[in-house]
Amino acid sequence: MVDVKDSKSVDVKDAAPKTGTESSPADIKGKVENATKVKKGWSNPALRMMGIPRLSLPSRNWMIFWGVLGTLGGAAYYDKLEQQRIRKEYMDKVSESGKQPYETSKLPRKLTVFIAPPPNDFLETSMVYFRRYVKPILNSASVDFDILVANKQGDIRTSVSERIRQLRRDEIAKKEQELAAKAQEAYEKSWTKFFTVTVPSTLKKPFVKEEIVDDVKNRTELYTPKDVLGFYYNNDMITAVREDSEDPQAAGGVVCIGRGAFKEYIQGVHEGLLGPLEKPEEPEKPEIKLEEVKEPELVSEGTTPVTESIADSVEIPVESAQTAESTESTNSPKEPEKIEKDEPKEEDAEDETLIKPFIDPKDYGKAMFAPEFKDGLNLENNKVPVFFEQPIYVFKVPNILGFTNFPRKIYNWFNRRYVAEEFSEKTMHIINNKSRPFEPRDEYLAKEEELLWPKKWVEKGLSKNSEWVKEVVVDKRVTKHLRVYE
Amino acid sequence: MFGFGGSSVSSEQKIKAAEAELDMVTNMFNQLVDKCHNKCIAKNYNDGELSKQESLCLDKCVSKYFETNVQVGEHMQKMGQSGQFMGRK
Repeated sequence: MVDVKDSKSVDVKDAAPKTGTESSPADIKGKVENATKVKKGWSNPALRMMGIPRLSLPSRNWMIFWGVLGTLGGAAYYDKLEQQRIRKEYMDKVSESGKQPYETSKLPRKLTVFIAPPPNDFLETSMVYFRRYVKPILNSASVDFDILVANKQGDIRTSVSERIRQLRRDEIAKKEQELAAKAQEAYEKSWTKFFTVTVPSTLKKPFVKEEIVDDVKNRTELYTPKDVLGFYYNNDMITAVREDSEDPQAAGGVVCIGRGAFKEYIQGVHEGLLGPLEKPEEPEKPEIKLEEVKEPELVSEGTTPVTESIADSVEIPVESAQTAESTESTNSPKEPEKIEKDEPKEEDAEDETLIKPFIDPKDYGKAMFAPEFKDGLNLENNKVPVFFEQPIYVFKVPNILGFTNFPRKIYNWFNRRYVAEEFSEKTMHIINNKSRPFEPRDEYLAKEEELLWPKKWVEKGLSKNSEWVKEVVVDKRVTKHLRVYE
Repeated sequence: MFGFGGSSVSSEQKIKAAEAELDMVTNMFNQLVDKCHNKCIAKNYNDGELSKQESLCLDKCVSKYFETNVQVGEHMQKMGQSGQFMGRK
């Protein structure tokens, strides 16, 4: 190796003048031999005269180095280009609708995106999948979205169920207001008011003093920016209307990034609809631990066990429990103040590592469906369907962890274009917006992802009673409100 | 500024404050229009009307602008109250 390098450094150009002048034949012979040894590669007399060194292949080791570097770099670059091409292809596919003229008073469809970190990894990992492969296409199709992220297990479930509970509370408050208004109306017309209020006040009127009003007021009480800006002198206020309110079947959508997010979402909807409005008392702990730890079912096994559980939960216990639950639910509408007081408590509960659900999945069958929601399609005040009525889509996050999986990880890194293709293709389902009712098999959406979850993590989750490693428990009364993208 | 003064605030001061307020609002509005126009509106002006993409972008831009404004304002107020401005330099 060293020899070759040395002989190379003795250039023909250097050797030539010496041989031309005075040197012994043996010397010449040695030099020529040396030169012939060097003479690998290609040169041209003209080039040589110009001082351009001979062109030759680099040494074996350099070749290996450049070869490996080039292959890896090329593979990475090709993958990147392909990803970009795929993204552009799908973006162009959907961008047509985004380019059409649009009324100012309208707003496009809005999705709710739930993103949970994959097991034993950071939130950023899932965010990257969303940001790279889903978001550009949604933007291009001009579909609006709200992102809701979870930092720890139970975050999504809690926020989902809390939103449903809030809807229920609003509904109760609305009903109460109506009742109060009716009572007020009846009172206004009644004779009691006439005698107790109207007559005395007309008699007293001249003696009542006007209150002296403090002349310094807050700016916000006097005018808003809207009043000051000249634009609104001649124009009416424009209130934007969401497209969602036009066709309830095509409205909104819920996107879950990761199987865990989906699990939590489903469980959250159940908790919100079947659970109580207020946080229940802490039950005795040892009992739960024994019953709640379930054996993980194999993925390959069919839907049979769970369909059974659905049937159980629907038929048997509903009526027996109804009487007990209905007394509770009739109590709750009477005390909206109490509900408000309870809210700070819930915030305290969030500090705990694992937020306890208001209702245990095994009690779903016994619980009563939220009486505030009707059987059919529930709409919000702005005519958009309540979010749990909107169709769901789940992306599986192909995140691989572990030292022994390193070769797989490397392989996947060079083949991210397939992930891009898969995600883009799936995003198209959301944009095409065709949905169907939730079927029992849909609880296994993105179940493949669980195969990638680290085994140790799953074990730990089982011992810690984590909701991610448990099977999804569904109740037919809830799932009939759910929809799924095709 | 408002709300503390009781009856000691003269009408001149009030007008000044109102002017400052109006200036601030107008300034913010103009900046908002400028920023969101730059960001969202395609510069080739093929169409007189807004496209769906543009209107969605504008919607997000405006709400983001206001949210940022409020948050920064709150933070500044907090800093002002705790005297961090003065303490730093």
